[in-house]
Amino acid sequence: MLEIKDLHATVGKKEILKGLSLSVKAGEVHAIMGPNGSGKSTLAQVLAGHPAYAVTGGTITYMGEDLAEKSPEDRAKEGIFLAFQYPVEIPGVSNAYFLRAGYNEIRKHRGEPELDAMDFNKLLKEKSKVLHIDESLLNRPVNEGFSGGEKKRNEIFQLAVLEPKLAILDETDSGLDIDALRAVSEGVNRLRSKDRAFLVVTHYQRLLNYIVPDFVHVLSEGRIVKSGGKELALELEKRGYDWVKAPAAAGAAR
Amino acid sequence: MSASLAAAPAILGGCWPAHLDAMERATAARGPSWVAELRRAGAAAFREHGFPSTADEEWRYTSVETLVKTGFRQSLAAKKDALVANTAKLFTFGLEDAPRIVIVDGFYSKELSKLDGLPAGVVVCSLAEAVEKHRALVEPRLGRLAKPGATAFAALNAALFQDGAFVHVPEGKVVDAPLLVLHISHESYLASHPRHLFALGAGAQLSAVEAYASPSCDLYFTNAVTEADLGAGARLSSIRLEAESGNAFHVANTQARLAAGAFFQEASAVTGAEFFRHDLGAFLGGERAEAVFLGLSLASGHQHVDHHTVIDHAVPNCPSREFYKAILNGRSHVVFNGKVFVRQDAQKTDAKQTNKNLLLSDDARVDTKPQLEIFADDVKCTHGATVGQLDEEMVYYCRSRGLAPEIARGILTYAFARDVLVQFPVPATRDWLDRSLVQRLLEAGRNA
Repeated sequence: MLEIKDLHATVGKKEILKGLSLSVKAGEVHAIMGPNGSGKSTLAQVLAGHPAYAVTGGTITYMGEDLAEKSPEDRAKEGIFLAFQYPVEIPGVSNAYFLRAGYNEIRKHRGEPELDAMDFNKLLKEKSKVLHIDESLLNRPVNEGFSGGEKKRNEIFQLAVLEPKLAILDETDSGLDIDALRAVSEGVNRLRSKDRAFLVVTHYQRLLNYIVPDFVHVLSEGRIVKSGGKELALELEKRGYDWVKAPAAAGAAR
Repeated sequence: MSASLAAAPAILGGCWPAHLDAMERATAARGPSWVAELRRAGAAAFREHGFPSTADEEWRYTSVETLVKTGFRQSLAAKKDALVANTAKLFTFGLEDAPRIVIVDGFYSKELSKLDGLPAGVVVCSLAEAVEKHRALVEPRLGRLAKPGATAFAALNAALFQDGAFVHVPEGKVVDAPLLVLHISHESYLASHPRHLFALGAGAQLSAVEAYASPSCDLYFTNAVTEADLGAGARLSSIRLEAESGNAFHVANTQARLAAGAFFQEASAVTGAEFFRHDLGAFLGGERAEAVFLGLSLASGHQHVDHHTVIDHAVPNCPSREFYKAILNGRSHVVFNGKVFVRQDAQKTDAKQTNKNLLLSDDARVDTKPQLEIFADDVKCTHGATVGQLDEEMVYYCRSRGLAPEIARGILTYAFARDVLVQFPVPATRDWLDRSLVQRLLEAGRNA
């Protein structure tokens, strides 16, 4: 589904990703771990198409097509979804309106008929029940005045409604208490399927107790320095990140 | 540009002295002497001071040079026209079945007005008629709230007004249906000076839509004055709709006087006119009187939109609130000046003023100035002004959910406006505005 080869990316003049390679197949859950500043969030934003990030080398192939030239909205329409680390507040636009606009753009792209407000509200209600989202959230302005936990749950709710092929969770666990973490993880687990891949970006192993990954990758200084199964996350939790940084230095020297 | 103006603070403009002379000849034998006195006071004030230049602090960002240079005709009698009759039916602003009083080019139109169904005792008629029939209600108020010498334009209106709406809601009466006060400008190069007077007795309640519209895209000049006198506990909630032709000049002066416990709300929506200036004032003369001013302006092209407000807290325990928003496209220029007086006696005043501007173009310009003059020591007065562009992170967030950037901008622009629009009174007209603004705002976002 997703094939990243030797990816280099910059924000401003600063190179953050320095030769990152990663392969993700449908149905897989990949965890991207790493210390602060290693490039985890940059990877997430580059995949979603944030205009402030520039790809300066390497390739990103998604569903057989080159992704780097595509606009953020085209990526969304083709099934990429980023759950933001810091979801943006949009005063004056209700969650329901916002989601319907996006949902219908995606439907149009797929050649499916758009849903009117009534049918869409029905869909929202169903989804909100499954994910235990308070219905009052639907008519509130997007993320405005939401607590940190509500914002993160709202991201997962959007994920559930938009049904992407590739879901990227950027530090979804940050700022969540244990109950919110459990609720968010439960939501994500319900959305796992053989057609959908997840890229779970996180600093801590904690989230991976709930969302159990198929693969764990350690990112350091803009490239993946170690990959393994879910047990790698436990080892990182125990030993920290320092011991895996060494191969990065060795790699750079090579 | 304004060097010559600055050097000559008093400009006695083009066609105006001739209009004043003509009016004096035409009306010498007409109307009661107390009205003639108001006219004389207006003419004298204008002859003495002329038009303001940009050297005048109140007109620093608003040059009337083009307006002064343009030659306007003055009409001394009403004209009938089938086109106006037909288009007047279209100007309902969501109030299809509401009572309405229609003024065409400054003259009351009996044919287009619909004044049946008002509660007993409530008077809605033309000001010209009221001057004759309701002297006791009109004389103590006309020209006493919006004083003829207040501005050059108030002076011209006092000297030249022909007609307008007179509304009297007696003590304790509540008018449920909103009243539409509609001014239609129809003749090209015509100057009209409509003058409205609202008098609400103690505990009376009224909601109104004061609208200025035109079926044409002509150049003309509307110079309106509205006076509103609210007795103790009276409530007047109004929307002021400015839907003039895109080439029109519109200057207005609205002055409200509030007795104890009265409530006055004016929500202004500006979409038309090449040149717009509104001086809006409320005098809070009794305790617990409350004034709320709201505004939403959409400016594009070379439009000039200027809101000048004054809230005068003369007594203790009065709240006031101002919330103005503007969306600017093209080379438009928006001015906001919000003056709040808190007099020495006005302890426990609670005044809040907010002005927010959204620039969708690099060539648009905003001048915003809060002006608080506080002479009491136990008060709460806040003000805030912002001038900004659409937040690109918001645009990106929308895009990441599948929305094209122009749609994202449209939605965000609409959201900016909606924030103040939802606070407008008169639900039927508010909803009409909402519907008609959606399209315009989505387009404004797309053009950004």
